Amino acid sequence: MPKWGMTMATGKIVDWIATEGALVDEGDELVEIETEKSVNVLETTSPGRLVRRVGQEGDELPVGALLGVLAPPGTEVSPEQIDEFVAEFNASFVPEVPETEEVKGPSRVTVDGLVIAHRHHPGGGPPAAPPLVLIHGFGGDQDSWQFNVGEIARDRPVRTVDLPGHGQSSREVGDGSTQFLAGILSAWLDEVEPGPVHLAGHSLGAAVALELASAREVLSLTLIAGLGPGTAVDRDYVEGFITAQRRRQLKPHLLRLFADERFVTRDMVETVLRAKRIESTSEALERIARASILATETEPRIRLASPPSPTQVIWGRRDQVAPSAQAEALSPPLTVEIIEGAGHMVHVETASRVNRLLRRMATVHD
Amino acid sequence: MVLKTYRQAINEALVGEMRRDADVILMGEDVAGGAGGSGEDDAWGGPLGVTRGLLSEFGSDRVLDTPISEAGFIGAAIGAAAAGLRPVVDLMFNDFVGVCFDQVVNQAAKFRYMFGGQDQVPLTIRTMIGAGLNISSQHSQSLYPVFSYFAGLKVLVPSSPYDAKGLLTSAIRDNDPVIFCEHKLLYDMVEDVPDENYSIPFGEANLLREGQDVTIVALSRMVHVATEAAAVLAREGIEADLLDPRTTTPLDTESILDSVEATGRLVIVDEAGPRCGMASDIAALVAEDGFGHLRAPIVKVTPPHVPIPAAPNLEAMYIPDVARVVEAVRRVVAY
Repeated sequence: MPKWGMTMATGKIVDWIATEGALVDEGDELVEIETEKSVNVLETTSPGRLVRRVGQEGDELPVGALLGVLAPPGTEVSPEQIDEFVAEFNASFVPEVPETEEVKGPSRVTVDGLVIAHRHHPGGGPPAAPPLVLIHGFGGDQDSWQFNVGEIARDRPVRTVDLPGHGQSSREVGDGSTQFLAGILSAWLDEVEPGPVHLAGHSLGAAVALELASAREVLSLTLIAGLGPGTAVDRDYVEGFITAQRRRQLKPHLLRLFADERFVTRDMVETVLRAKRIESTSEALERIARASILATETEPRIRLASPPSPTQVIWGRRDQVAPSAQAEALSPPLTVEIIEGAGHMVHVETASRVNRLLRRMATVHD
Repeated sequence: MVLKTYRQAINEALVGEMRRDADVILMGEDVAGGAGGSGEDDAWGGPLGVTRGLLSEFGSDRVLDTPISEAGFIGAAIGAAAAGLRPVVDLMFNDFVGVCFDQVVNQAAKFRYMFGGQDQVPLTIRTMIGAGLNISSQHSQSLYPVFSYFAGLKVLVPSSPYDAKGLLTSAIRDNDPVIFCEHKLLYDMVEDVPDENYSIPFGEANLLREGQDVTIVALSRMVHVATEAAAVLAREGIEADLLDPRTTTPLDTESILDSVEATGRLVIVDEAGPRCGMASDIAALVAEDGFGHLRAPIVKVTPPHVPIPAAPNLEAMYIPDVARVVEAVRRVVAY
């Protein structure tokens, strides 16, 4: 059972997609899992034959529990061997105690006079592995990576951060430019992670990541639903998001971020509203929007023709905020992954797929 | 993530606004904590410790202890507001409004209107509401429906620390008289409250839970009774939309009507009495403007029409509890 979200303790098997005995390849859909906060599809991370579905549809299982058994391709395993493996696994399996939201507040550090809220997720990988730093999008916060952090942290430490003007970081945003935001994050990295890192950014965060990659050693870069300055973005969305002060005004804008509107829960609307109510937030968002999102003189393709680091681009085909056509038009050296059925929040809606792409990108370029 | 009590949240809103605006002053009995007497300054911070520390930061020019004369000091605060200050005055128990009723409802509420907009009363009256401490009929009432009757007053009933800080901040910045009703059983409730200043707009109901079977509207401490009831009902497969209006004037009628349109059933949980209260008001709103969507009669869960008893066993019977809310919802769902 994967861990999607810091407070996820259990998941429910909704639907097995792969049949028992089927050969599955990396990226094939295995099983649909429902958590408190989402429904997502778990994808295979290595090829093999699904020799046993251990968890049954409707089962509620703790994080880390055995869902099924995959045998390496070309090997024959007997039912007795599978039974033995399952018994051994279950005998030694101890569910972890879930972290509660209260104890999991972000740390704060002051850089260049700004308070920056951030989290370090050491994970289970080698501590010396270069970490992956995740930068959220406009109007969001670091918790928008909650479905990604757990799986990626199996390979390497992960760091998340609230951009200035967002989440629990300071509302001081300078001139609101990506250069300013990247400058603050660079000073933050000097403080907490001076060595080489992998970077991934979503939407506005992609623009900041691109800027950062020009300024310091970045081993690999993943741009999700954003290409930096000049990305084609729906202005109505940006302006509507900034001015919405009430739940009933905000919800229609949040619905546009997703292909599947079930992701827009009461909790999500409330979390975004609470951040927006903090004094000076609207002014900060407006300044960032004007300087970094709505300014369109730049042509992203020219800059991305020779990216500062090995770069992949991930986009949801049904993105209603930043159309996916602009990613489809990109060419090598960039690798481009367009994910069907996902909207702007592609890393939330198809977390498993995006996690696999992020893990592979970092592993290849370590 | 910083857990704070309702008491601390109110204190933070006061500190935040007093630092931001030198026109904000505090007045009330003991808000300075015994100043003027033989005791220690700022020893207590109001009868429930809400204003502790403010005297030492802002001084006795801005934190004023008053004599026990509501008619006098509420009137003085209204005058100070009309003359340009932004007072936050502590009425203590809302039951005491009887002795300064004219000042509040005939003066403060009417100045802007009767002076043709040439004056305004940017005043916040903090006051305690609610039963549950066995302090009898004259110290336990919930009079927000009375205040809500008067055009010209805005009335807030925060049910949580987060809402208390955000609504009090908005109240102090508002240019009209606002009655800020603190439920005395909520002072020790803790919740995550941001350190930063933030404000919650008036007339914005809080949706605490989403469900398609029934709409529950609850106010002040009853929000927590209704939350518990909704959890019990969910285990029976009944999913409730739970709305806390947060402000009774202005009232977020749209959220209530929209929810009833979706669920077709309405239960209102109010600690104020059954006659001429918010429960009756909201029931009338939905009967008038949402009748076509109703699939069952509206049910009000309120105390009976009696003075609030002091005896603990009788007071416990008086206040609506989880069992009554659960029973009311089962009844409208089964109708």
